[in-house]
Amino acid sequence: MNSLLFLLPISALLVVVALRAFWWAVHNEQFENLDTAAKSVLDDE
Amino acid sequence: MKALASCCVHCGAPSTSAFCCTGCEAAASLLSAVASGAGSARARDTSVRQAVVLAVPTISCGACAAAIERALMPLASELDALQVEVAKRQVRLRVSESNLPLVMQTLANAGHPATPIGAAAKDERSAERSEWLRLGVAWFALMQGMMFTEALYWGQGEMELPVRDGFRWLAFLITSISIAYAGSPFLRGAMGELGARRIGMDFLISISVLLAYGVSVLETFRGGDVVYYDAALMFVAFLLTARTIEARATRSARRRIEALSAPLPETVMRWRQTEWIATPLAAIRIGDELHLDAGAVVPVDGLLVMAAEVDESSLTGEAHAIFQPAGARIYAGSRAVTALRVRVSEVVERSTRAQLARIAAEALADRPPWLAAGERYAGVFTVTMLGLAIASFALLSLSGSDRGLPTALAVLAASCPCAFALALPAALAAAQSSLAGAGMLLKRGSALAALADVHLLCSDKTGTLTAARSTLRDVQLVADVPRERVLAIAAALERDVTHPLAEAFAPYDQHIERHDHSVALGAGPSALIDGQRWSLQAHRERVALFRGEQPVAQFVIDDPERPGVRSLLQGCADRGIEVALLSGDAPSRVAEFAAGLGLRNAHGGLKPQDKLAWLRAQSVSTVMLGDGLNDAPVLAAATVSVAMGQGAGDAHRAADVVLLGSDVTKLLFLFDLARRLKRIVHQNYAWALGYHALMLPLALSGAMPPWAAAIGMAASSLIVTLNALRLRSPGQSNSILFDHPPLSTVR
Repeated sequence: MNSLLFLLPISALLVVVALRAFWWAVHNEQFENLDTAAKSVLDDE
Repeated sequence: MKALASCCVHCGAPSTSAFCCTGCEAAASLLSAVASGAGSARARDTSVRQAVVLAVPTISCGACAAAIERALMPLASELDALQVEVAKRQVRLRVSESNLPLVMQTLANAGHPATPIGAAAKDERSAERSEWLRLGVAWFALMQGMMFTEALYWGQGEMELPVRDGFRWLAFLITSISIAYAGSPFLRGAMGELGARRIGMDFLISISVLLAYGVSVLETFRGGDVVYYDAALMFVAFLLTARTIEARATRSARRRIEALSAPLPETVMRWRQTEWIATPLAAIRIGDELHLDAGAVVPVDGLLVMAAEVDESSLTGEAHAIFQPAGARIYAGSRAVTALRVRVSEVVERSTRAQLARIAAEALADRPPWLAAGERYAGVFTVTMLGLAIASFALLSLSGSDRGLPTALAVLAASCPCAFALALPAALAAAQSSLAGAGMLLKRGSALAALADVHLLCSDKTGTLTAARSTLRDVQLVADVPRERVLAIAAALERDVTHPLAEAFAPYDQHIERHDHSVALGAGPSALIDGQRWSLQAHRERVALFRGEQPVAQFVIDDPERPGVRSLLQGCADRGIEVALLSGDAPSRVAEFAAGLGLRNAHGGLKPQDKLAWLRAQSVSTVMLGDGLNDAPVLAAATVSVAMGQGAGDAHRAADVVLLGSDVTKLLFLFDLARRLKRIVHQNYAWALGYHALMLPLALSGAMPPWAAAIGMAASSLIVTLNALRLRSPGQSNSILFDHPPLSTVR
């Protein structure tokens, strides 16, 4: 059970890092435009 | 910002006015707005890059996006984070203040004039961002929470008590964050519903979440047997996901109705005494003279000062530039193809564009009466289910079973009438957006539902089945007045008259003064000109000009068949819709016209009251097609009325649906859409009913865990929304989860 003592802080740290990365992505407009790139393959040029 | 106008305030280039170009002017106004917003007096560093959003109304497809990216390629070292958003018709990038004019100039040279946009768009953006963040937090919390609660399930009995309680407190922490942040839209909605004294979706969702959470907190404190944090987390994550997708769908439908919605510029060039001055849009008044560059969106209604080309496609759905002479009326929301000068006749808030948006919003609020009844039943149903949930909890708890709470939670989740509530509104919104794309304006929402069952199309002739522009074929003089004079007087009489025949005289107008002008219903206009009373009267198939009682001249007017009428008739026949022609014209003329089209059911010489009586005598539901100007009472007598407009300015016509444009075959699209709407609404209701019929017994029997019920609830409302969205595509279904223009416009 002692392993929990580091696994828990590690998982907490990972969550903080992941949420921070997500926050960064949202605020850097990664989710603003989901279709232009998807449709660009339909272009002839 | 006063300047001795010898060089540009912004870039310092030689200039006769404060700014050398609209680019500099826009950049300066944008940046002064930013600076004043920040409230700081520090000197601005013009070389720092900052995020800029440009409205580019000319973006219509993916190819435009590629063209813009190519055009900006040479400037790649000066800017970054370039995004071209086709659906929103916007370009976003980071660029320094000093380089912004260069970017705008480059875009304009590439045929895509741009305008920086500000506050309103930013609000919507930040709302969308918190939506994403909520979704992210909800799912992260779910994953973390599951980690602990799963461990609790598997470790049951073997786990040491301090570890178990530690895990429970961690789960408590995570769930609290998830409910307070990600679940806040539901909680706020529930408070609103309580304030309005009704029980709705948000209330049921909040009750389910808070019940699972509250019991778990209690059990955590007393060290009880089971906690339900995972159920609460799942409710929040699944339902928030369904709601977000639904919100995106309605938002994109709304955007299409609004623009119609090329965003308006913040400032326009206004003529003041001796020079053009950039003026904020809000300060524009009626009578101002504005200059608009080629490609700009017209922000107001107005009259052209000089002839110009205008594209009304965002309003009428018919994409071609129209040449308009000086003095022609143009409408907010259309686009200048050539640079144009316009005298303002309606300000932004009262313009056609604003009216269209308002009418569209009102039409959505108009529900068929049976829907109101349905909503009452849904309320009763919800309360009953709440009672059932409490009863099952009480019964199971009293009988000593530990299944009481999970069962009650499952019943609550399974009974949420989300799918029911969305079935019709989602479909109606999607259909309306589809109509807007085709240049049709729905003024009464319930009319669309009624249109699916129509089997008789009654049509007026002049101005509907015949072309809007009639022409003068011949003039026969019967008195001693010269031809020139006769035409000028007739034109003066018909000036400002809205009947389609009046257009035939418009080219001959010499602006003769007239007094005491009046138009009697069912008769022609009359007026005093040079002290004599002149009048025009329809006489058989001719129009005759009278001086007092004496005939002076006869006009033969050509009233050619409107292009597309034959395909309309063929289309109606294919769909099993009968067509009847009701006209006030001379019977012989109507018969000739009908025979030319192969129409058997044609009636001429009808006065408005005859048409009314004829319509009322029909046993089937009817749709009446008219011009919506002189025939409003007749239109009102039909089950559904449709008015033919000629252009964007015809939104005010009195009818349930107005065709903004001259293409009469749009009517067929309308019929098809109404039938598809009916089919899809039926499918949605069938699905919602079937879902409840299946889920409730399962939930009541305790066979279904709360999380499965939550998935079912989210999935059923998603299915209903996605099914409704199929109405936005022109024909068969394609993937339209996120907003983009229909593929048919991508060339």
